[in-house]
Amino acid sequence: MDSGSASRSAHTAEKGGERGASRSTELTSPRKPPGGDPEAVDSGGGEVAEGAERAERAERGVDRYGAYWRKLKRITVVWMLAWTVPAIIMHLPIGAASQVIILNGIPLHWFNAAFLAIVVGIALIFMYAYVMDRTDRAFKGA
Amino acid sequence: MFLGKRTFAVFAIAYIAVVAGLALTGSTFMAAAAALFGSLFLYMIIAFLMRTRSAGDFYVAGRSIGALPIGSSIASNWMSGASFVSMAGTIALLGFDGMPYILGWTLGYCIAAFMIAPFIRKSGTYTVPEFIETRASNWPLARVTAVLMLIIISFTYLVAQLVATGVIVGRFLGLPAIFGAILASAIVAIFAGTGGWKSIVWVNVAQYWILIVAYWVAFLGAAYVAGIFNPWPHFGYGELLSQLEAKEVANGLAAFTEPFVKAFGGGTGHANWLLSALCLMLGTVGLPHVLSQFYLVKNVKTARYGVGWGLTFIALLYVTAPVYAILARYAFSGVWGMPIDQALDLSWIQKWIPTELIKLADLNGDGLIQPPELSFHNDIVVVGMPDMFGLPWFFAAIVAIGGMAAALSTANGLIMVMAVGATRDIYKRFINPKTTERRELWIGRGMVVLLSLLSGAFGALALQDKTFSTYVALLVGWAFVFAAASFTPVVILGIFWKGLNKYGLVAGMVCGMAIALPYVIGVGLMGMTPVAVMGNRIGTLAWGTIAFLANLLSSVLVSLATGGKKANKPETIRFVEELKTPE
Repeated sequence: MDSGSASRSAHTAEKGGERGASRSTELTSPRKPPGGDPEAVDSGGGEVAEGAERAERAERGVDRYGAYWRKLKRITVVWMLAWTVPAIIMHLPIGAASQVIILNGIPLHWFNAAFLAIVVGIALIFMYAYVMDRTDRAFKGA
Repeated sequence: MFLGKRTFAVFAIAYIAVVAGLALTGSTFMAAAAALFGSLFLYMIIAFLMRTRSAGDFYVAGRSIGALPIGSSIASNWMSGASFVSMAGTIALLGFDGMPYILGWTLGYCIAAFMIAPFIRKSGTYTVPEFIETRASNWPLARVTAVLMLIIISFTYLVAQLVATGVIVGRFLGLPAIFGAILASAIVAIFAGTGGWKSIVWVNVAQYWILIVAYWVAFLGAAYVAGIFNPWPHFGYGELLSQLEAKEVANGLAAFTEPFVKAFGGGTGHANWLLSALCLMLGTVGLPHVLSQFYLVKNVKTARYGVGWGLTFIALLYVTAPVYAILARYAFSGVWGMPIDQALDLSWIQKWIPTELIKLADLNGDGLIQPPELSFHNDIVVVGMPDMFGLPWFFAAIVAIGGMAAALSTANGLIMVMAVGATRDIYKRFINPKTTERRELWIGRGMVVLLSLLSGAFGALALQDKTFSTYVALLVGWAFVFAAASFTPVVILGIFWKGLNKYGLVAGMVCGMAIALPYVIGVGLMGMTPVAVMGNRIGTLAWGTIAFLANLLSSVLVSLATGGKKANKPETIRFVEELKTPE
């Protein structure tokens, strides 16, 4: 159940990253046609200047790295939240879990701590490595 | 490499021939001794083949290690003699209340994977103190403090490893334990002196596989005799556990898996259990010899997968220890209710009583053994397991080799972190920055020898002086509290928050230690009553989590009060930004 939620959130995290990247390109591209009242020209001019600066920053790769950092941050938060499942949440309902007997006589609260939590932890690390590795390649290749 | 392979093949054949030859002549003691010393010789060959003249190899193994080898190295570096020999026994004594050790000493690697390892590798620094200095706007005092902390923690840990090796050698070969401790320190100096980290990593890899095979061979043997292969021991012990618990309840004891019966780290209850596990996880990633492994890998990707393999390999031992514990307790429960003469006739009891790892006394004089009349030391679970289940003699020898590998592999790593710290962070940074590579290497080797002499002497002292060895054991346990209270928050914030500046960094460390130290000394040493929260007594280990939070909070508050990001130099900001770029 845990792996499902983690990979789902990984998916949303990735989407978020793409959104972040597209937002920055949106900001660099729009350019209002000159004309109309002076005030509008004024504000438009400011935006053009800002857009140019952003384009320059993007050329230097700053914005792409900004997008990378936003995505990395999101992935880290998601995975640290997922980590609380084997580290904390799984061991909260001890009383209820000790009433559940699995595998011919092993109480669930014991099996959670002695086996399941650690296996979930391992799975989380490999999933993180896979997702981050793909992210790195996507950003390097772009 | 060809030469390496041939040397290995020749050695392996000679090794097996000698051990088998001695065994056939009927001298099992000589065969066991040859097997044990032969394994040491194997490690020396590996260290020698990996010898180097490059400082980069010495400091960080040339940043060349792949994911599987670094995983093995992380695992053997992590699992000490105590993990191998005492962990299962501690669980056997504490039952479910001992599980924070299992969780706490494994799931910390998740934090390492998500928040530390890849970034440490990306930083391009060589040591943790160097990382901290760079992050603290190139402030030398931060580096010096970090090196001192690193040396205090690692040295205590190292002394404990040498004591463990001495005890193993003493128990299996009947040689004086002091001889074992000094021998171990000399051997570790040879491993580290030949090629620094480059030798140590590969020695660690060999030691991992030897220790895990040894642990599993004895376990699978005992599991087979106990009949828990249905279908596999880790899932098949249900019936055995029910029988054991029924017997415990019948004898007026708490059932083995009943939660929150016994104290852990001086505290009690659910909150203490959880906080203790968290403290061990947080402490893990603040220990310098753990962090140092992340420098040795090829690239950031390898760092991520390497930690995954590391935890996998650690788990092979850590998910087995609880089953080991149940098997041992089951064997003990077989003695309960037995007439004392019959119990004294059991061959494993006869063998282990002289070592005082098992004590048997008919306290109430009824001629029968009740549970309190059979007491055991936690080391007996692993070292005595082959005898409890009547396995042949060589199982015990295999366990001894494994225990030795576990203790040595941790000692290796510890001596290297200290040697690198003393050479690169003190000598090269402050004494002679323009040193030649050749000279630097010789200083490094000199440090290795000096540290091994010192730690050997302290190990010998600990074996002779009971009070001293008690303090060593206590300090090792508390190392996690201190690491969680000092290094961990700084490293994590340093990577993830540009706003952390040197004032916040120092305030956090000082505040964390100021919260941790008095409590640990008061409750752990002077018998102060621990703080209670809703009936849960908060023990010394659990307190580490509180100290971690105190450090985190004060780092953030002081950084914000002193200008946050603005108080950092532009190159520090660039250093942090650079950590979070794709490689």
